[in-house]
Amino acid sequence: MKEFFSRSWLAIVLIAVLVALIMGICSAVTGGRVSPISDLFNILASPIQSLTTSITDGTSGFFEKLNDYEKLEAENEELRKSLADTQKKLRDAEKASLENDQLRTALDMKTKDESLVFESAEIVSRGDSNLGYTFTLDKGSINGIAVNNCVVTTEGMVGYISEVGVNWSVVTTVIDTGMEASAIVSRTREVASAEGDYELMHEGKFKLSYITKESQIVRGDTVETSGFGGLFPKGIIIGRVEEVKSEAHGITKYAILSPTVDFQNIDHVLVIKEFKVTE
Amino acid sequence: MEKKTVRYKWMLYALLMFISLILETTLLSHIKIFGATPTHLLPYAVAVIAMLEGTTSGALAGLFAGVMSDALLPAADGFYTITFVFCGILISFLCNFVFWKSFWTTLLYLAAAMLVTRILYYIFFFVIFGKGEVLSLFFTLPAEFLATAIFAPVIYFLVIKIAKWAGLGEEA
Repeated sequence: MKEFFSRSWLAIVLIAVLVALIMGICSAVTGGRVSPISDLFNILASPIQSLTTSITDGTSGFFEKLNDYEKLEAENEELRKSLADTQKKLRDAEKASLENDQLRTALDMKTKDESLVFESAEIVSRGDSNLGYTFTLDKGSINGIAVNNCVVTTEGMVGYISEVGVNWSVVTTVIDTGMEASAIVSRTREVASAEGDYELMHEGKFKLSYITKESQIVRGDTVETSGFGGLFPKGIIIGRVEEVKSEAHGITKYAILSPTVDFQNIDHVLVIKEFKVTE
Repeated sequence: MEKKTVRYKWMLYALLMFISLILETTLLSHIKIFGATPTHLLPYAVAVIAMLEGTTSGALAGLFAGVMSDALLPAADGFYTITFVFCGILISFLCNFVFWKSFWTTLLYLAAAMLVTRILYYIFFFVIFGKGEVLSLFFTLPAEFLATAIFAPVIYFLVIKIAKWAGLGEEA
């Protein structure tokens, strides 16, 4: 207390004020250039700062990572959510695009035949087994779907409805052994029967039977529904001729058909609920 | 105390303050504790010296620390010279009322020095030049105090060592 009131420190305060004034004046006069005092300290400090900085640089990455960890974790979480959201939107867009294609096909088919009434459905499971090749759809009787309704895509006929539940239904595909439909060769207009074959089903193919011996059918011909019998609408592409062979008895020929629809890569189909019978 | 010893003691104090400032501007500026960097080691060193040595020595330590800060830190122009001298005097004055001379009391002085520095900073830059927001300036003080307090024992230990070496430390 004695020392405090002796005011010997007052001289230091005066020096401090003087130094501060000199520094301020130097800064104002030189317009930002360094004062001699600043220069002196910087000359002394610079090599040490340089050394410390080089040591720091080696370890700063570690500290920065440590400081940023929580921030990065939160950012990561946010990005994950954003990515999941974007992926969901993408899936929805793809789904909408597929549905759009389906509806365009329906519209196109409806332009040709105004009597057609469609129901868009999604494949929810595949009954691909040794005994048959079926799909289960997410729509059923509540949506107006009935047994024997024809199922199509943009590429052609998928099959027909063989079982119907309230909100589900089973499609028997054209390659399934249960398939049997009156068909017509698009180019030659010859009538035959498209049917599933146990052996061919495993190769993803089916058969066109009862082709006359004189038939001009060749590889690459397309086969479509004939509309006879009123089961399926007329003119829906069923498959393409892969090979033409003679039956063992020699009276008729048969053709091996490959479906125009890629069963492995379809998700959505159109069920034709109503159509006008034309033979 | 011999004049030679006094000279060496002050050279060691100066060196300690110089190294503190270098570390503050390099290594410690990369470290964030409670969201703040420990950048008040220099006023802390002034506070410990003022506690041990008295008003004149506290003011002298403040003068050296202030001139050095003004020279090395950007756009200070005499601010630290005035502030640190004031801190040195203020803390030695406070010591007249606080009889314990321990590490824990130096933390009290550190808080006082930081508060004084911040108030003077506010007067210099915010009131005179009308820059920035006053609230944000004071809200960061607790975090800055904690960040500096973590490194304070090192400075305290070294100042005490120098003072003891010079024959002053018996009471510390």
